[in-house]
Amino acid sequence: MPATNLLEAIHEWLEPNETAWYEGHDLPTYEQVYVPVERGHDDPAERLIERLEYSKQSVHAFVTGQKGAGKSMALRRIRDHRWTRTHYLPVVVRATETLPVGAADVRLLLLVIAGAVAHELSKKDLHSEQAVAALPTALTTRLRDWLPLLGEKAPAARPGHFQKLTAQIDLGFGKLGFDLRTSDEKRQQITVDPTYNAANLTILVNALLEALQRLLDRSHQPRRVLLLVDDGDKYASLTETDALFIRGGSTLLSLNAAAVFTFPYWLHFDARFAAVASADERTVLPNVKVIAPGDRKRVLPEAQVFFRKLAGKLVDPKLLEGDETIDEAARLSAGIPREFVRILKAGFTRARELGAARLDVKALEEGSRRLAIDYLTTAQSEKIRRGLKFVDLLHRLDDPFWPLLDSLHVVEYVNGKPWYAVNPLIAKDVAEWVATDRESQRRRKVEEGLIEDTLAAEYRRP
Amino acid sequence: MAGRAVRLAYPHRREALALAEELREARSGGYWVAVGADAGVRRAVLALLRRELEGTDVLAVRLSADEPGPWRTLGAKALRAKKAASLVMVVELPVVATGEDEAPGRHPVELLRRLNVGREIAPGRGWRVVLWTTLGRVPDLTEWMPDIWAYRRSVAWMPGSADFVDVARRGAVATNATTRYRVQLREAEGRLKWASGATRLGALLDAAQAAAELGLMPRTQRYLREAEALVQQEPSIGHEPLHRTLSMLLYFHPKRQSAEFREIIERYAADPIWQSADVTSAVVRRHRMEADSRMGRYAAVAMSDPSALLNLAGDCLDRGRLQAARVMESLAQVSSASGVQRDHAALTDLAFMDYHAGLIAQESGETFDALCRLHGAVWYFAQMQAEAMTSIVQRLAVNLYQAIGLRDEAASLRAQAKASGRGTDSRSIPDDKLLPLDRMSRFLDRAERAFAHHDLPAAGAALSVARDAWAAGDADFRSLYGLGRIRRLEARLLVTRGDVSSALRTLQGALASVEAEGLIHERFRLLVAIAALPPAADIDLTRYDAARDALSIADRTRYVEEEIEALLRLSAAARSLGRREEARTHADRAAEIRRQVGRRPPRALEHRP
Repeated sequence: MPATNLLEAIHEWLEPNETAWYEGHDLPTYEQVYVPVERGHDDPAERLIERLEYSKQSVHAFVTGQKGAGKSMALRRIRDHRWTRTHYLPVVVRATETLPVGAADVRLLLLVIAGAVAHELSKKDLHSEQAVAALPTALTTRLRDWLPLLGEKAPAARPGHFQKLTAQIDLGFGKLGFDLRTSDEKRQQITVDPTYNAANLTILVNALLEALQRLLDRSHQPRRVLLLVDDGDKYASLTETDALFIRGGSTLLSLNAAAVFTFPYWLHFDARFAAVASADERTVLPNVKVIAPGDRKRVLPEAQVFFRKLAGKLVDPKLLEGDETIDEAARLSAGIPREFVRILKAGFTRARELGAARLDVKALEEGSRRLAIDYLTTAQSEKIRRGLKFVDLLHRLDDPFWPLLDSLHVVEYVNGKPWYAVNPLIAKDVAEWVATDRESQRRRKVEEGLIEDTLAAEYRRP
Repeated sequence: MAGRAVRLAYPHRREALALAEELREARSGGYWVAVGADAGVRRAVLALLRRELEGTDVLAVRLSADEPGPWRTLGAKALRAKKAASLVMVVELPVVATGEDEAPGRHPVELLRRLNVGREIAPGRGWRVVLWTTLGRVPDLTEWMPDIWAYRRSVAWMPGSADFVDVARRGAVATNATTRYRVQLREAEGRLKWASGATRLGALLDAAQAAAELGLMPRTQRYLREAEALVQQEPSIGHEPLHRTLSMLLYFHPKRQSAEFREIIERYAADPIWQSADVTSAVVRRHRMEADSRMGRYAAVAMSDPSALLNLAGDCLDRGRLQAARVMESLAQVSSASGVQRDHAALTDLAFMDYHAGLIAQESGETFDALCRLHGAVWYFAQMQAEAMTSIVQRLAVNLYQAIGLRDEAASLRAQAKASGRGTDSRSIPDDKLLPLDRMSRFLDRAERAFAHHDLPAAGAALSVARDAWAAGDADFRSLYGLGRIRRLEARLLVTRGDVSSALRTLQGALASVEAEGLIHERFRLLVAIAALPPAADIDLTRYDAARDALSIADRTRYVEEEIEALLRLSAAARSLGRREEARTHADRAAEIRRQVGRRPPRALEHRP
């Protein structure tokens, strides 16, 4: 049951959710708060599930979106989808749990994936005698060959050994995973050791996948393997992105299983990545369509439906002074659910200070004004300010300013063609900065038609 | 985190209590961010959290800059905590030098990244982690631990002077310009050995500027005196160098605070040669502004000179013309940066840019930014050894600290600020000789005094003169502060006649003008005036809304006295609407704040044009 008073709303139901994968019971659960985006062609996650459903071959998909747009939620939806659970065995790999940001490399990622697959492979319920007997000897031999490299002794090849073999592989990867997580030296050692080259590791992962698939084929519920590799988007530095997705992209695409990877948002706009993954293989999760470029004050009907449903799952409607309060929170959130929750919380906090029994638009605006301080204070540097002004002026993003999307100083809207705007919480402030600059150009006798170009050049200067 | 804990100032205590409540009520682990550079404040907040969070283990953790496994360290700390209690960890993020001399440091990137990697550990284990950073380093968090930043439950803003100075230093230019000025001085002194006429004046000015930037005051003054003499002998040398001479004289002239010096400036001002250009003196500025020049034309003339533009920004600010002030400041920045980067701009320009940006930020309600910019200006002026200006800006910052309830910061800075020199004084000037802005101000004072003594006819008469004086100013640049004062007084007179509706309309008209300009403090004063109108059924809701808007402004500006005043008005308006419980809540809160901040300070921030 959603929050029934202001305190419950503030402290129990309106906590910005840390992760879509969280399974604890002290926060509202995923099932409690999940609101599907309207079904149809506009929902990329639904489209992806459809592709997985209908494709005869192994689907490989790269998923991205802004922070809070629901990448992890999309992966979790795929994992939990009724259809997926029937036809696939989802193997979730949360890369950053093992591989620190700043140290990623496609070889290390392959080892992390191998560890996750090996763990599934070691589960006894798949080890029916018939299934194990049908495994080709060459395949088990290949897996045995890897054990010394994992620091484990290979068990003797005799009947019933397969369970022990997979348990040892799982143990070996468990130890390796710990080393990868904690030891710079180990990570470095692997990246310079030719034994662990990408080709060899691909063969290893594919061998594990093949073994798992063969066991699944003979299980009581035959399914296909589906790798869900989350957190790829966290490896956003140039070096890591290059290693994982530009040079390593083809390696990831050569894995013999359906796989979905998240990747950094900015890479979606990089031409080099387009050569690695076709447009069909890339999925961008847009924020819910909240506004149209021509009328930024009016919240679109689909966003109204989505956010009213979401609000309904979080707080009792009697705590909200009319739907316009929800609409305004949706507009200020730019369609990002986590920000929507944060804005509602700020509004409720303000309403409580005022001794109000419910949240109205005015208290919401006052509360969100406080949140704006977070963004304005983190926009102290001249470069960030120039970036914000550039976006406000042209509604597009250029090269040096992509990180502003990650920090949510800038948000992306999609109405047909994507367009960009300053975070609504600080849009008025930035618009004033630009208005001042426009006026100063007029004072400098710059022709009206040239002002925009002049300012754009000024904002973009190195 | 050993050491003496300080008593938390009201604004910090309020933030800390809100943080404590969030931590207490949170149903799960997660991240909070606390901002403040003062170690004493940090210790005091820690003590407050320990007091407020009874039954909770509150651990202070200081991570080292080269920490290879920060989560392992936090885990080890957690192991030592009481098992039964929920756990709060206040984690002080370390700072490393950036490599430049005395430059402000930053948080170590690798450490932030490692923390970001393990971002799900704290929520997963139920740890409530408070990450402690400083105002200037908050952007490091968004850049290097974006996920933790995205997950933050809230931010407790508790910055003090250490934060504002730190941010100011980040924006400030290191004095690597020293070498450049030494070269300039040597080269200019070389030219002085042979040059005459305009060339000599140029060399004198270059030498004076370089000497001033290097802090060589006697030499600066010697060159300026010679330049001054040269200008008097040969006024035909040209406008531009003359403007610079006069401008510099105002800062570096040995007698700059004397009446004799003002006479010199007045004499220059009277000379037709100055009618098309700008000089920096308040005296000259006022004469020229009020006499006949429209600011727009004036700006066009002054376009290429940053100092002239900044002076204009100051003039606009005096009149509450915030948007025009912003444009002038923006033009000055462009002008200063054209051809040379900010790193190489003159210290004088940089100092005045920060000074005016600080004033603009203050009038826009961006109080933190205002303090950062004012400290920036103090730093530049101190570098230039411009003591008078340093003290002026320091006193402005003192008023701001006082306004936001940081009384210790205010007292400490007040002790540094030197006593002010004699400013221009118009008291001896007869009424009919006064310039319109001064006349308006003088008659408004008289009208307010008369009103206070219940002499309504005298108040009305004085108000009428003030109104005429206000209308005599340039239509585009009439003082909006003056407008606000006039309308407030008009409204009070209307109320005495029982015409509350007209009073409301009068105030709402002024409010619209002030709102359009973005003058937040004047808007506050007008809203409070509306909220203070006598109760009447048809306007009670308007009074309530006005008080609520005023409170929202106080929330934004963080001015404590404004908050108290708005709360009291809101309480009264709520009572008029029959909302007794709400009225009591606001009155109690106002009383609680008053109790914490002590008696009301003098109204140093009321703008008196």
